Amino acid sequence: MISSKTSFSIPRVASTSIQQVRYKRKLAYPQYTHKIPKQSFNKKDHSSFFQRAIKEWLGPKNIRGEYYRNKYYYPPQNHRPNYIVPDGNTIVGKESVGSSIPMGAQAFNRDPTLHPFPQNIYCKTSNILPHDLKGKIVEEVSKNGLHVQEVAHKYGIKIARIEGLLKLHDIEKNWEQEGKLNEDLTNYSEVMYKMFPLYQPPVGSDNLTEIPTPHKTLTQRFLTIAESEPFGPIEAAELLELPVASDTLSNLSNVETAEDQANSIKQEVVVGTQKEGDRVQFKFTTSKVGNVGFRYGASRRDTKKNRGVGFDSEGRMVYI
Amino acid sequence: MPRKTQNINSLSRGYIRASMNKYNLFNLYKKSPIRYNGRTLYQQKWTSKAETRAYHGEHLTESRWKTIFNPSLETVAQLDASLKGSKVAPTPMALQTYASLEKRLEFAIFRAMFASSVRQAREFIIAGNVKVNGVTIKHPSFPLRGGDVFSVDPEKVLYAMGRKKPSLDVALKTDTKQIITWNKHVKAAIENPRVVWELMQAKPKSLDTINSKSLSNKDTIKNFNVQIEKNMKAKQKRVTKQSILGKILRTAKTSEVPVGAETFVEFGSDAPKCNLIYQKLVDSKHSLIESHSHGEVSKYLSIKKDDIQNQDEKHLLRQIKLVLGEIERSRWEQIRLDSEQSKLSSSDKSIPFTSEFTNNLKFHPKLDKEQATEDETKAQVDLPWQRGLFGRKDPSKPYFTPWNPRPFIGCFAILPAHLEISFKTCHAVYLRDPIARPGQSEVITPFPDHVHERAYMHYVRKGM
Repeated sequence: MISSKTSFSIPRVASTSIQQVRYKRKLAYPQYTHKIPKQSFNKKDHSSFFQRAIKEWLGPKNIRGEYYRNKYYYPPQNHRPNYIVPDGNTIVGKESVGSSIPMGAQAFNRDPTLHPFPQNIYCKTSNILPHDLKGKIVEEVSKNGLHVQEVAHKYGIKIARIEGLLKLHDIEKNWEQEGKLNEDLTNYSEVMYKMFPLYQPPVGSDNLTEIPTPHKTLTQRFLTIAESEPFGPIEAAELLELPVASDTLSNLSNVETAEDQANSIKQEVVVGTQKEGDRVQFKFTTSKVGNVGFRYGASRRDTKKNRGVGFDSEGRMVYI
Repeated sequence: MPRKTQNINSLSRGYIRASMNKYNLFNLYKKSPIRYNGRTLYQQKWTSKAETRAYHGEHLTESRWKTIFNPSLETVAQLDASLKGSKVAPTPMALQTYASLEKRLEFAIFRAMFASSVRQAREFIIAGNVKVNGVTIKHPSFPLRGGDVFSVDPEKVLYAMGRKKPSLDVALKTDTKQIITWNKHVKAAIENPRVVWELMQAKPKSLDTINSKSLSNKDTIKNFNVQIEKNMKAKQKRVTKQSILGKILRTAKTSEVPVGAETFVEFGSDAPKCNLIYQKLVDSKHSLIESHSHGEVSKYLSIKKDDIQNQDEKHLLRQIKLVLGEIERSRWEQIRLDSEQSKLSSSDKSIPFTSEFTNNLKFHPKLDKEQATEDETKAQVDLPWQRGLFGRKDPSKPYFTPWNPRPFIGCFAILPAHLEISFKTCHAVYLRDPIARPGQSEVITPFPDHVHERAYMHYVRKGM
């Protein structure tokens, strides 16, 4: 390997003067089997190993300046991603030097059409919603009058995603009416659309029973119980002071009506009528001392490092 | 201010960055797994932290990141896990270490693929090209909340995700080369059509998924067969009673030997029938024998029976029409059989040679470089695959026109689960903060969980 050639070696002199190497930086040499041409004997060739390595990896260019034989140069357009496989064979039609993937460079069970990174199989690309399914969802909500939660259950998509989809649909419709979509933009959106896997329910549907993990369950609890004493999910919930999972699950599938929502939101509003001839309108809202104005003697954030920042309605940064 | 940096995509250093750069792709490709053997825990944590921080917010200083870091890792529990019965996959909690960065506007724009790197996303924000809920935000650190709609100016997105626009000089050089190559091809095709045809057939299929019109073998054969069917129908349409009679009379007139069945060889098995028609006309001393222009023939055949008084003439016309009808049907059948034979079956590998392909090939005039340098719009390029100067069809745009995706975009195109994107309008909705669930983490990262675990340990400082 090249690494042995370029790594720093400790000169072995007399045993009395041992030099300790504290920091030995290893260069990031490719681990796949490669056949990188040596520097030519031309005086002007100052190309480094890595420059020659990437040139070899990219492959030849055509007249138009495209690496036309590199299998990653052009994007996939069949809804089947083509993520990297680090086996050293990137050039189509070139004799392969050896196609084994270096040990540990790719995780076991990795699918290159789903996992973008060879070493991390927990990272997956999401599915894109097909145009017709989007249309169907919009129709279900706007024409058939279904509740977003019902649509979510029907198609196996999370509520937040459906709400987002509806928002974006409105924007797209406005843009079409205003004639803001040009040829390049349509071309771009089609290329992007064809790059991602399509959502085909029920395959790849969201799990709608997900809840944020209760913090109480993240720590260990020890309980001594008798051998004959029954211990199940209900007892566990009692111990952790949490609602029983089956109840939470049934609550999740209940559709919240507009009436329920109205009941649940309680906002205290004090309304005062503006009298004729009044120059100003007063609005009364309840507030707590400390939230409004400065409490005498309290420390100020603005004198500290890393002050808290927020943004006002016009997008300007303000200190809080 | 972003952290200052030099040679961010150094190949010898080999750090992976949040960028779609081709050097970064090579670094990702050749990344060797992080090994811990023979290293102290502190060394392991330090290496893991250095590697992950190079990808997650490398533009932030370490002290800035430490204030952003949130030690509580957001995960979800799936309530139907016990109902499923199967073993639940482990939840990669450690991959949430950098989740608190993902809510920053700059990261969301990069993840939505509206910018090719986080640093570019910052540039777009600072320049005022980004809006959140319709309000221009100029702060890359703006924290997004669930339901926020953000958008980037489409021109900027096309610039970021498109191919680099060539300079006028490069475009002219490329087009000169393309024209020379094309003219060489045309010349060779006209001189040796068969050789060029075979070379074209043997050429490997292009990998270009965007501009190449090359179809799969199945589609090419289908198109070829459709063309044959079209030609067949056109040919059948041309064969009518009039055309057959006209041809018979013309052949007989030009014949030097006395007219017999063998005069009409070109009609094949219908030759005796043709002779019969001719003899019948001769016997009745018909005027068509002498003058048989297209008009007269069709006039004769279009006479109605009732208009003819003479019984013999009536009989003659009926007989001629009958025989002509037979010949017409057999000719049609012959044309159909011929075209069926020339059709390709799905197992065929190549399309048979036709000399017609050179008919449409035309030499391209040379490009006047001096004139084009003075006024770009005067450069006339009209190649079969390209109209206008290379990449500069619309020189006012900052990207390659007509728009083409940037190189190697497919390797970096990851659709995030925590965003819903509308590419058409360059808008996206931030659905929620990315979370970890059994078997998946919504935080996009190239590093495996054990690296993140050590990085988390480094920042949480209490051990894990």
